Amino acid sequence: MATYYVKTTGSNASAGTSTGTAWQTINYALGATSGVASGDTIYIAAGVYREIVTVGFTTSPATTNIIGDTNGSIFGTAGEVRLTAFLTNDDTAGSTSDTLSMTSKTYLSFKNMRVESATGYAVRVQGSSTNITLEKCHMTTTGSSGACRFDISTGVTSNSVVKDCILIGRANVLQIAPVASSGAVNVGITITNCFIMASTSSCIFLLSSGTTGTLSGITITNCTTFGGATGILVNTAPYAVGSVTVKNCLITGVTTALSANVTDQISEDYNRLACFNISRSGFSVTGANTITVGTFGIDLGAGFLTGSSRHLFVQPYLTGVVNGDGTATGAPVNDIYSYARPAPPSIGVAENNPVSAGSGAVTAPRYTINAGIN
Amino acid sequence: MNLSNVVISRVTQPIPDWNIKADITDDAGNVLSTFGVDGTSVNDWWNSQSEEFQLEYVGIFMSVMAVQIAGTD
Repeated sequence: MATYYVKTTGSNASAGTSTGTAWQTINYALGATSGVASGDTIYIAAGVYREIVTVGFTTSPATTNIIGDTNGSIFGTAGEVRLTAFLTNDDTAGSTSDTLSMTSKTYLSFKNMRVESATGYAVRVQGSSTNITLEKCHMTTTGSSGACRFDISTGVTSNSVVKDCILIGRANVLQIAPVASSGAVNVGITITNCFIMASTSSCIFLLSSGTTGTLSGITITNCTTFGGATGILVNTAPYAVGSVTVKNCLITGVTTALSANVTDQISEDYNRLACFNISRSGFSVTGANTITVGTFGIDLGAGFLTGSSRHLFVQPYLTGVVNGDGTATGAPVNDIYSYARPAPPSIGVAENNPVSAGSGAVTAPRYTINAGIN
Repeated sequence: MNLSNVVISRVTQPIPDWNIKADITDDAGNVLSTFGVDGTSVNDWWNSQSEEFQLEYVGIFMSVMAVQIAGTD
């Protein structure tokens, strides 16, 4: 298992095997000719990478880790690792292509990256791709549709995870789109500890192509969605009854919190649905522990605005308000910021009163996206 | 408030329309109201709304239409 390096001041003609001989582009590193092999590790230095990236190397069978060196522990300089489809500069129209894409690739883990798209998807996973992990990534788009999309081929169980991520876009920001054909397919997608923001349509959008067969295996836990017409929307029939599990989530700033195309496709409990008017559409069974009243739920920086605290953004300002509202069953051990959750955990992405800072947590100051409601 | 027994039907005659049926329930499952035994026509409902309400949504339509017409974001 080899380790490779990428930095903006590197050269694709170099060996890529040390920080001093780092490659220059992520697309070269993940392409078919760099020499990267399944199971290798690639560190990416802080910087702005204006490029379209298509994974081309042979990815199976071991996990290849692509890690943004955001704390500078590898290259010595901390900062954001920003991959953007705005190829010229931020003031010139960007590429219409998906920024980071992979088709029928497996065992890939992306961590600590900001990925931006102009009109394509920031991250797009297609074909028979499996075992893809997006962790602590920030995906945004200025386009009309999603920041991240999983297109899943017929009969494929993805075994993929989106965790500890922030996704922001206009509509249908995180999309799961399997092909539904004959037979039953466990789609195998887990979305956990993700903060997702939309201005219209939905935050999490479950659709499918094809109308036969049944789909299952979507798990959404401890997510916070803000905005859109619908928080979590299932809009096609092949998703089986109970195929979409939603637990410990805060759905707010929205007209309809949860919407199913067929009655009871979504199995929900321990959620806080603080929405405009429709908590659920398409349910005959509702979660006994879900609460559908409450205040708005997210502090977007009021403490810093009023001087009551130095919290810069989305820090909770109510105390002790949500501990115990969630269920420990199936919940992540840590919150989006790697702080240990109490048992039972809170709803939403962040703990108001975490037990401790876990491995990898940024300890001070702690800015959170928290369900500040009770 | 929740919606259960949702049925959204495409209507083609006499003019293109949508028909909506559902039970409007509270969290305990008690039916608060419905969209009528035969459902509600979206066109009829839309035309019964205030000018201010319609204008708000026309503004939303306008931006969506602009993208469609221009074929770009």
